[in-house]
Amino acid sequence: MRKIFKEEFVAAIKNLVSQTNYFLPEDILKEIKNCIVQETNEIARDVLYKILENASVASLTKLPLCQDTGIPQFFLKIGKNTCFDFNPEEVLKEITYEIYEKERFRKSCVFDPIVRKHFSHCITVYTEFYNENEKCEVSVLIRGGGSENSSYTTTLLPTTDVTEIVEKIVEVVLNKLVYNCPPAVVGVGIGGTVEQSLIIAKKSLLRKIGERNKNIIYAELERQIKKQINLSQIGPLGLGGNTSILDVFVETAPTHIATLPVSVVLQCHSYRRESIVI
Amino acid sequence: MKEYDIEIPLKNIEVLSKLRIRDKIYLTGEIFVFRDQVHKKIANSEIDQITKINFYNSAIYYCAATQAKEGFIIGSCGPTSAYRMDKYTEDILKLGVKIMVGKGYRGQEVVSLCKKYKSIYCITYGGCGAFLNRFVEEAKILAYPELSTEALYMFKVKDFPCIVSVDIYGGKIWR
Repeated sequence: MRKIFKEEFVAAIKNLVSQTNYFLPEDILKEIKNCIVQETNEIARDVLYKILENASVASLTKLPLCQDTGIPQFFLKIGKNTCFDFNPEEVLKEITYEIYEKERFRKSCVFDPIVRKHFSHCITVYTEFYNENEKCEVSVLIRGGGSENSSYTTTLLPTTDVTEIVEKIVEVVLNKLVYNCPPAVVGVGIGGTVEQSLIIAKKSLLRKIGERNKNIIYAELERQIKKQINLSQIGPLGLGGNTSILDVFVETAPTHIATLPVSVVLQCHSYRRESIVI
Repeated sequence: MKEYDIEIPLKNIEVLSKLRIRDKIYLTGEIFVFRDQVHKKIANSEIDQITKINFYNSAIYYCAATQAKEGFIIGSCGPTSAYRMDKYTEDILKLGVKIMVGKGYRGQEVVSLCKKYKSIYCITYGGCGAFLNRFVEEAKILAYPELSTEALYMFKVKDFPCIVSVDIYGGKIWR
């Protein structure tokens, strides 16, 4: 049994929370560069160059990549032989608050959703256990309001065939994309219970660009959806071009015989995502 | 696609008649900065704090920046999604606002309003708040400080880049 000490956890999380707002992941930078090569639309190329420039300014000046420093959404995976002498969810909250204040990140949350008065920072945490014996993996997606607002969930008939599912997903993405900040990444959850389909869609965004679903049928679905969406010519920021999305990640889960939940989650180009193993 | 330097507030609204969708414009001067909650207040006539502000021929920017760090005038300051302001847009245009800056598409009603009020909507670089910081030379709160990051600010900007996305002729950048 390994005991994770609070100091060790705190040091790792502090770094994770601050750096994620300043640095675009390598795979995203690389994919934006690839897109510039393939893009023929002049305005689109200009926007893609600005995305790279923004990343460079953010890392050099320590201005956040995006003013919407959003809600850090944590995904905790705890090894079966790991224990804590503290409450990790509580510590994640405390540390995030401390770092967000110190780094002057935006208070993007209100304590009460109706009253909407007391501005603050907040986080979400999803915890699961896994069989890696003595490890604790912490992943974070920092998501802004635009990305959250362009989420979608539905339950289709269990008899819906795969072409219709794809059509639905493409329709949803085309409607929501420009309220995000394209080029976006599309996370799709098919099956599970209703909330599970949303969670697996969101968790799929922890994958790296080009990382296909291990099931070749779903990997093919990812390619198909990506191709169809990029034909739309919505382009970066909706200003036209071939680069509407960077990738599509599909995740699935066993589901009830009477239902077929489908969820779609969009991630803007300011893809603040990082994972660490403690 | 042409490029224009535009001084704000506009001295002469004639300049807007030259602009077409996809033109790139660079704004220099004073721009009002506010979004959802200030729009709602204006629509609900909770305007005690802004009676002295002159919106005539002005530009507004839908943005809620991060706070300034040492050595900076403001923090990261990119645009927010403009569609959320659609239902309040006529109230704002009635005040004399001529240029709206944000990100994303607008509803058809906004395209019609732009035609009716001879106003334009521009998209700037969404998700590029660190990059846009360099075009802001001054920032101050004018009203509604209780709204925290959503207070009504005034930014003094120089060559702030944006792309005309709805023009005064009913042209819009989307299909």
